Amino acid sequence: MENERRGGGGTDIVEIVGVSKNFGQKNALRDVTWCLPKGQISGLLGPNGAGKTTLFRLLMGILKCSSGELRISGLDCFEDRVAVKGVVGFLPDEPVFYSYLSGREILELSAGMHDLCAVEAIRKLKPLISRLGMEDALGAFAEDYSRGMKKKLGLLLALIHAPALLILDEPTNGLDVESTRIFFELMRELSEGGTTVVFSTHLMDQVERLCSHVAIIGEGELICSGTLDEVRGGRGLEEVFVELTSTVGK
Amino acid sequence: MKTLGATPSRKVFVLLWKAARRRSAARKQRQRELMSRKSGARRNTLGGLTNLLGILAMVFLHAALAWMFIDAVKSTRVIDVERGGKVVVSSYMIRSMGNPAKSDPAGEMGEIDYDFDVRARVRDLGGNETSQKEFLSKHYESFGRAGFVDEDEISSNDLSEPERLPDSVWMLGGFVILWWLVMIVCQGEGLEMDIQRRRHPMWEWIQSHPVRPVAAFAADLLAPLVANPVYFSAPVFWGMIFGYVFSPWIGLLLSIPVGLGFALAASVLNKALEISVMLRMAPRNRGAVLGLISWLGYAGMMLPLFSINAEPLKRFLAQKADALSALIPSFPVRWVLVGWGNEASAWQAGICGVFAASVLLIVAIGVAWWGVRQGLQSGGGRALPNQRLREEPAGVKFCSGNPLYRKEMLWFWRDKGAVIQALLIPLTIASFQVFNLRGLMSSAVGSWNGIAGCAIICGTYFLLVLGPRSLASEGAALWLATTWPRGLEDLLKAKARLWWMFSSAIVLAILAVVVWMFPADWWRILLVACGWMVFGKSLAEKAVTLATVASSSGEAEPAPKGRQWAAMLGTFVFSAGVFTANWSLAVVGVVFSTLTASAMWQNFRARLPYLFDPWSEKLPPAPSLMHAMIAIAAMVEVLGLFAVLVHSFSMESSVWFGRTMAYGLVGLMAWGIMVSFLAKRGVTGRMIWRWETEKTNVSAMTSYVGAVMIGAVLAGLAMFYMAGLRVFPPTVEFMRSVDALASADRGLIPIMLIMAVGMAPLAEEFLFRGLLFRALDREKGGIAALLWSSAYFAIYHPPVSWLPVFFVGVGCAWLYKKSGRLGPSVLLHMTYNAIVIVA
Repeated sequence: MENERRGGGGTDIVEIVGVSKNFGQKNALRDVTWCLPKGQISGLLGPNGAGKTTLFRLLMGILKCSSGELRISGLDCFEDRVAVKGVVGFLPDEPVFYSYLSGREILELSAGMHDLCAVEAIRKLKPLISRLGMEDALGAFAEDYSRGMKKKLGLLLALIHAPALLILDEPTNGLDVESTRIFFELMRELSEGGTTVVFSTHLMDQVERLCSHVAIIGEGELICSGTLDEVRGGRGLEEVFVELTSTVGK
Repeated sequence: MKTLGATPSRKVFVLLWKAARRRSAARKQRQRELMSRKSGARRNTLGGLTNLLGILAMVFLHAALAWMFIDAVKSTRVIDVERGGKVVVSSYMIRSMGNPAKSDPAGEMGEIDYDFDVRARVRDLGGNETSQKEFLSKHYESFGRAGFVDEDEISSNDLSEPERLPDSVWMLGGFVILWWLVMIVCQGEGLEMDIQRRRHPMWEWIQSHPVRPVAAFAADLLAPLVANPVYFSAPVFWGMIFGYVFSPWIGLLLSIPVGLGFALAASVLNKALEISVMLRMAPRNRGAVLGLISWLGYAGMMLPLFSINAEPLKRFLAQKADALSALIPSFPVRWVLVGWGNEASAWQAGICGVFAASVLLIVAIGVAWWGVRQGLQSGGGRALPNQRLREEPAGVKFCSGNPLYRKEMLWFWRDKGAVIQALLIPLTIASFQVFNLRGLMSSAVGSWNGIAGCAIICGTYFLLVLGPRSLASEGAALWLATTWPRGLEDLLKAKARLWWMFSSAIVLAILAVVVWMFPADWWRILLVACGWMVFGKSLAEKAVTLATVASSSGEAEPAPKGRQWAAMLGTFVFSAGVFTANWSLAVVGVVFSTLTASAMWQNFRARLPYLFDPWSEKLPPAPSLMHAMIAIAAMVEVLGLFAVLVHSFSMESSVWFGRTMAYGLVGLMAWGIMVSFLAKRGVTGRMIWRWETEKTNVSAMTSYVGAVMIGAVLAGLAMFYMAGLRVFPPTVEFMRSVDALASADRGLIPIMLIMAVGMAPLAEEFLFRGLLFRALDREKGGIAALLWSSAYFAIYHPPVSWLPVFFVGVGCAWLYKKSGRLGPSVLLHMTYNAIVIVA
């Protein structure tokens, strides 16, 4: 069961081939091709409005690409979106919750929706809950959560079904130093356990410390991708990023 | 709060006002773009039409309330006159009495025309015709002509001599004006069910500027005035009232300053209340209070529509007003309506009207100032987690098996607004509706169907209101469902199922009481209960197709008006059928609603994956169930028109012939139009006539021969059924009249054969099997599609032939699917029609 959930075959768990996405006249993504190797942590870098969130939403099957192909564990992200949800955990940039459900009730709801036993799923998450310092907060209504608490609850929800792929949209945005450190440790542990992690960020040092693979996106185009060393080419990542993103579209 | 160095308030107001207008225009533009992308059409005239209809509805609403005012004044006058021992009657009756000075020669009594007044009194005051006639004739015997007052004398120019009027006139008039005011104050920007109203992010952003809080909210205060036509059409109310008191021209002149003044004050007061509730109340109470405000708005709108001709209610209110006028000074109302002098004066009334509106505006600004003076830090605070709320009530525990049911029940339990919206509003509207149907009720008093009909109406409204409210409760949290396998569809279906069960519990509980009251009718009530279970499910399913996604600022996008109306289609046919104990009407209601729900879900299922991606949204491929239903409905509408023409121009004996002619012709027209419609969407005629599926396993030859045989057998069974009806005691009489009509047309059999055999089956098979059944098979599949498409086919025929026609539908649909050809179904239908007509 565990192996089935994690998908099988091939070395790339995510294959994005020639993907474009238009919103009316606006081209949010243009001919993006990127593959993520299994069990690695990949970072997606890009200035604001470059198309990072759109790419993640395409992977989740929330949006449909205008052309191209997106696959996760061999499943088409839009056509097989039901099966994809069993493989992927997703943390959006700004998670919003039902105001009058407590954190625990939201976790139980989500476990049920993944067809898991709620008690068992929360028991498995227990170490993580205490590591994030959320034991007491789970009893409170989501209406009373701070932004950081919402992020932590969002992360718990993304991990509740032990997904093979974890997609995090600016995960440390709004988190305090301690929580950020815990988030990073966790991502590393998950990757060592075989989970593929991909996250977007604006912080270069985070990528340099964590990621084995990097992609830089600008104005909807994938400017470069590869292992961290390939992209850096012996220079600092920030330097490369600024150089590449300042020339795109000109 | 320090406001030193603040941006000038006037500038803030103008900036925000312009921004609000731009936002609204941009949203409309975006909706147009999306619509044209989806449908391929360049312009959408429907949007303009719905706006126009909205404005007209509001004008009508104001006129109805003004009429209520005029009527209320008349009622108080009538009561005043009657207190003096006189009776108000129509001018007909007065004229038939002849000369008022003439005494009462007993011989002329019979010539007095009582009929009109007797009927009116029975309608308005109750009792029966004999007792009312006796009352009027006795009164005439005692007092002669002098004991009566002409109705017209009371109606004309009532308020021109204010000194002669009783105080209760002002009191009741004031009550209607107050009602009108409460109604428009509670309307707000529109009658949206959304009370999430997460405006906070925007408010916080605006407040992060160096602006005075009141200035920042001032632009918001005028938003209702622009957004909702109920405000800018308000002068209609005052125009009609002043037109009645003075003259139409003066009414027109005064309506603008007084009407717009009140509209402005009401708009500001509405927004001031809303803002104060949001800023100064605990989050959990906001929904409840805003829910109450919207409930008042609803009830206010409904009252004038249902109080017209409600004479007992008006009399009751007039009497109460009389008692109240002794306690409360009535001069403010009088001054606003006729001025302060002894005689009615237009300019005085105008000044007082504008002054009253100004006072209201000052109060409204005061409320706004109180609400916002502390900015966003004021009152309310965070939600205090209430221990009682955190516990799960028994009802929620009962639903714990399904996580979605549990979530819905917790929402219902914890959100006060939900309880108000879900119980108070449906109950209010249902009671108004029941009141409105009192004509039907009075014929149903003392029998089971009256209360059963009430139960159905109650359940219907419960679902109609709760559906959108429950959807709005999702707000921006709907994203969570997109991370679950099949999350969105499961979520919406769970909502539909849960609220269907909830409403069914209410309806079945009432029906159980009805069984207890009328035990002999238990099987009829059981049938109604079964009908409700199917009907209620379809209503709930329709309601969730109105789901929309909240924008990133948290504001819920309202569902398009056309879709909202589609969800209402056929809603009251079932309850009207139960009220009148008209079984065929009730069955039509159930079948129609179920098919509409399937059609809406077929479209919705195509839309659902794109709920967050409207740019990729496409309409479902033609022919959809909605296409089939519209084509059939259009055919029936035109047929109705033809039937009227046939009845007007043909002889009594040839009505059947004319109807058959019309049926054949209209069917062919509908077929032709549909073929060209589908051809434009890439669906050729051949694609309808041939339907190859994995179930297709019969050769052409076998299917054609089988068609003739099945048709013959079904026709035989139909004749057997009709023969049965001719001897079944309850239907003997009815069948005799049917047979008499049919025998009159026997000479026309050859022409009827050409139409009913040569033409009608072609069109009907194309529409009911080729389009409807096939689209329904895509939606429901298997036996359900077979049965429902046949039921839909049957309800378009006279009730007497429903059962045989239903089986013809089943036979044709089964043959179509089995053979993969429409031809055999047409042949089956032709064989059946031919045998039934000839025999």
